[in-house]
Amino acid sequence: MLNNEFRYLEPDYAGELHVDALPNDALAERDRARFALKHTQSWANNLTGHVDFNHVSDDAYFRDLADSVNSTSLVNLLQEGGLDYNASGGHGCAVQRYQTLQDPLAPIVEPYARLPQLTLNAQQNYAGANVAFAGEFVEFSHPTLLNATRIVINPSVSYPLVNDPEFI
Amino acid sequence: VIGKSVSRIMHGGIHGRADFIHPVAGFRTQRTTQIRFSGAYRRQYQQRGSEVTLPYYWNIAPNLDATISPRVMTKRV
Repeated sequence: MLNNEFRYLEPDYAGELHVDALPNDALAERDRARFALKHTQSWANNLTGHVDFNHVSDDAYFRDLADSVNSTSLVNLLQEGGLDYNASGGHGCAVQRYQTLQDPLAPIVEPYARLPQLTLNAQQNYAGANVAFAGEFVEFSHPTLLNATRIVINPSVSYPLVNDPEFI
Repeated sequence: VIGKSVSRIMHGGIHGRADFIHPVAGFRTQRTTQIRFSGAYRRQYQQRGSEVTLPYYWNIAPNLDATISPRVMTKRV
């Protein structure tokens, strides 16, 4: 078996890559592999992106081959990517799903995937009024259960009644 | 530190079912390159047989590194 870890750190991006491979496992009689990538990237004008992708070749990978006890119980492997724009309140879009590792003795329902999740936030000052908007759109997707869409729209206007503190 | 060597032996158990001896020894060949040997240990799970991992740490540049670990499990190869 060959475990490979590669890490990099640059001003604009940083990340960590794992590629573990065990060709021709004599007990399982198949190839075993794990791939994991964590990457963050930032561009000019407040735009950032991230990728967190984890994949293993089979459900029993961590039970059979993990080198630490706490990773033998990993069940849901995150597979996520997103872009964020961090100005005037912050906007973002992301896609997120999981690889669920099933134990044949205790099967579980896998979590919903978010394909995609969009968030929109804004805040502005108009003549003493704070105008704010928070919105989110999520498309929940599941291979066997009901799919659903969630939209959250939360606009608000507020006039803060704040005076300067007075003193004698 | 050139030529520095480290070794230690740990005894431990996992849920009282595993018994392993885990010697770790290493030495630095240069200021930026380090080879570390991680020793063999035996488990009662009998799912892997004896296991030896030999990580090789490679400091490619101040902001880049790689750890390559060949690992032999006698039952799985």
